[in-house]
Amino acid sequence: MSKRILAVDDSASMRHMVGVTLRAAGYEVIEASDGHEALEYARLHTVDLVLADVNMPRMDGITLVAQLRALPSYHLTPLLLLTTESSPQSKLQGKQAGATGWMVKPFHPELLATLERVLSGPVRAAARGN
Amino acid sequence: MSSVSNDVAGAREPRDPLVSAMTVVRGLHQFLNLGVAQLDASVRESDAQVDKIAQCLAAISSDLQQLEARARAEPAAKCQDLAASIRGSVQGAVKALQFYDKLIQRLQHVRAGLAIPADATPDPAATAAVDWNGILDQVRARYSMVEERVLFDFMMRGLRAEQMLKALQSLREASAPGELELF
Repeated sequence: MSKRILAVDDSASMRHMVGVTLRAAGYEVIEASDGHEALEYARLHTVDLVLADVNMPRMDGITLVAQLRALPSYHLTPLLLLTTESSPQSKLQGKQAGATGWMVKPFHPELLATLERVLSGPVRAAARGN
Repeated sequence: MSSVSNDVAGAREPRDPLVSAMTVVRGLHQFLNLGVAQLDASVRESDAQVDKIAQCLAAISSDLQQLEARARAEPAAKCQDLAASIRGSVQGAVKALQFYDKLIQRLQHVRAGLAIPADATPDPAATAAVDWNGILDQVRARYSMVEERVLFDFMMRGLRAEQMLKALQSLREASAPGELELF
């Protein structure tokens, strides 16, 4: 059974690019257009990994990460932020909110397709420490 | 956030109407210069990425023609190298297409950057009341990309649009987007 990834971005083109890449790598991809929509989905379903933009209307990615970490079923889920932001302050905010990692756009498709290593044990353990 | 500049003379407490008017004119000149640099950067980057997409599509089209010919004449296993080439071209197009997301963000920020000083100066005769440092802080706070903040800071240092673009290119060459940083 393929692993399910929740891709969150207010840009439809970015969601499409992420979706095309991950589906080609064999993942099931659920798309959400902002943090609020993603959180609604996450409250009702479980996913194996969340890949979220930072700057979004209604609820930004860092708030989404913090809200997801507060849900018992998402304590150990890898939560990655994919964003145009690359300032150390923003990364620190993401880390403090409980993010597992940070990727600056544009993403390399081949790298995104190797998320399997993020879904493996050691990285999930790292997320626990946040 | 701390005030972004001490370069705009007399910006905090304007007294003399002539000095205030000159401050506003200088500030607007800087904003227009920044807008030019931001739009130039967007156009150049977009052109480069669209060119990459066109190259990827051309490669995909060529590979598909070869694939069809081979599929008719050779065993399926022989087609794997072409399939890999097509996959590489698709990945290249996926990466290049992401320029659009960045372009939209940047244009939205340019628009906001132009609207803030315009809204703050509805009456050209009331320039004495304009708090330029406050306006500059508002504009900078809207930016979400490091590149945008760097361009803004270059503007505050008085760099011209061409100089800003050159410095921005050096910054891009030094950055490494796309790498996953695990916490």
